[in-house]
Amino acid sequence: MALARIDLIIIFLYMIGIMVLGTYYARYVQSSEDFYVSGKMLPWWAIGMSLVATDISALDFIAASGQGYKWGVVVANFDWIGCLPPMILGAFLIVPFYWRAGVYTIPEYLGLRYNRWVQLIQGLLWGGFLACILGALYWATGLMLVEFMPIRDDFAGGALKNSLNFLLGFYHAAEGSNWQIMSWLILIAVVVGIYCYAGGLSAVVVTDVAQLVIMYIGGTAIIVLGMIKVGGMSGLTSKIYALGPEFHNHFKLFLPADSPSPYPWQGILFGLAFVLAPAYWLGNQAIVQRNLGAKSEWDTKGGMLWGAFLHALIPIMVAFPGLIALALYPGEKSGDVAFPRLIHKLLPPGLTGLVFAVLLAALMSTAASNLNSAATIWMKDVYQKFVIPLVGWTRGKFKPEKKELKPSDRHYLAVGRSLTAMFVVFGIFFAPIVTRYSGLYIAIQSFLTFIQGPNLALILFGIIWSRATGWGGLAGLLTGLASSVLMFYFKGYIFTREEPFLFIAWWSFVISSVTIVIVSLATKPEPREKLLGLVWKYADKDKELQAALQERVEE
Amino acid sequence: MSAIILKIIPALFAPALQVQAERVVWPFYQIGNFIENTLLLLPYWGVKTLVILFFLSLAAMPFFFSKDYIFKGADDRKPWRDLRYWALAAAVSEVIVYLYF
Repeated sequence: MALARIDLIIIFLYMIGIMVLGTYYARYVQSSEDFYVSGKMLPWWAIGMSLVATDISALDFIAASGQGYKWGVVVANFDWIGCLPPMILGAFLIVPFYWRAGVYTIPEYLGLRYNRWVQLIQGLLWGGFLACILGALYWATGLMLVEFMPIRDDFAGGALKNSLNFLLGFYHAAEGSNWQIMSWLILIAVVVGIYCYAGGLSAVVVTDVAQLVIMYIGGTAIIVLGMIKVGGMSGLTSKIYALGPEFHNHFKLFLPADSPSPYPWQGILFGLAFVLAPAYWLGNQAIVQRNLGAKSEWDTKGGMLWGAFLHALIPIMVAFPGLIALALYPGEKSGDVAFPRLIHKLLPPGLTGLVFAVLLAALMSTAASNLNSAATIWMKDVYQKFVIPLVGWTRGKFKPEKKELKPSDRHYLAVGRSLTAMFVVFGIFFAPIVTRYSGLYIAIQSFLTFIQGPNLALILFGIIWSRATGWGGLAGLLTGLASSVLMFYFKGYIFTREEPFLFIAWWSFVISSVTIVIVSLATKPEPREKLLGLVWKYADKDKELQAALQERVEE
Repeated sequence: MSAIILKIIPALFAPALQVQAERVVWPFYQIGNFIENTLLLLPYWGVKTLVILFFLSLAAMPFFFSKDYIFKGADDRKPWRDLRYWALAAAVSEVIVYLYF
């Protein structure tokens, strides 16, 4: 399927516009604080819009509508019960503590609350995850672009195809249109990389705001046209019910407990609503980073709640296209083609370009946030916390006069930008590995499952329970991770369903929580001065809190 | 070479590992089955009621915080800045959705 000239012009203008807008903000980046947390100047409305744009990726449009095609409206739970509760809880109970602590990353907060080993493990896990997810996001974009804008085999005399196939040969993936996917993903990765490199978090947030507006306009267009085509809500339901009894649960938000799908109600409630969603919204650096850049505590809370409002409309744009595609074009083998099929069949030239820009906007905003957060975590939690002291220690051992190693702020800014460039390259080379997974959405959820349960346990106990100790946190993290990996490995023996990621998340959270409690009670309590500003119990002791935080900063 | 090692080692140890794994996870499997069977008894309307109560409790939660905490860092205390009502409106909108589907 090829796009019309007008569509290509719209997409071209969109990409140029976003790049110019993002790079414009380079002029406001004078320090590392400007680069990593926007100089703590973000207002609530930008935070809320950026939260939603970051959360919604092209994967949501393609894979969530694919799951909607296969299982129905139940997939909307990921954006309804999977968003609003954690965002309300986060706004009032969690995010203010991150903001008050003055940290750049969540592992940094956990490092202050528990100990440096928790920070290192969390930093490596999240840093690794964010870097790897970039590859998945890039591959999904390439896949989508090829569907609409295939590249001719003889482009550039066939040199492009030959060189990329040579590269893909190392992954045993030099087949079909994979070289075209690689071509597009490299282009997108470079565009995103340029404005992230130049403008840091400010560029990410301001482009997110623009991209969310485009997403709403384009997403609404496809839903309106689709609903007209199927004859409104009544036409949609009657067409899907007419497909057979196996489709009679397609308009239920909760599937029966014995449903063969990965989304029975108990999994949605215990796995998604109680563990995965809070862990994602409260513990994912790519999400929370804009809250850390808020200009006040009220703005960080308000931004989260404003995001919750905006997010309530997202399922209509990401899950309902799957239902519309099912009503109009039943019998597809893979649900993942539902959304592209809808664009292809429903939209006139011009509007196709706009909706295509929506997918690009979704992808680019998520990729930019992950890129920026990956760079922030690797700089703050690995480089600054461990590499710099290690280099200082090594130097001091041989040349005692050089023991003190205190790099300038410009140095940390330069490191952040170098890491951004490095992760662009890493994402490109990691992307072909994604081809080994059959379902992109499931693959990402499975990967997140390992981290999310223990991560949430650490955050909740860290903020709410002042008795939780550094050793308790470390033990909880390690047992939680080990249990989720073991459950995933032996899932065939433990669980009755094929993709039990919601259940793994729940049980790893439980195991991690129990371990934190037992080990904390068995170890010495943390001193009060360490906990000021970091736990709920000492939230309102502001004078002491400020003094404690100041002391930490001076350290 | 590494590919060969990766294939041979699991092949050698897989049967023994499998027996051990089954022994270890069997009690958990039983517990899981028990929980799953218990949950099966809950009717659809019961699940919906639970979820709606969950949303309503979220809407009510911010009203237990002091106004100082709600407005901390705000430029002024105009009614639209009262975040308790933001949370209430967002939660009620989702209650409507969950009642519909």
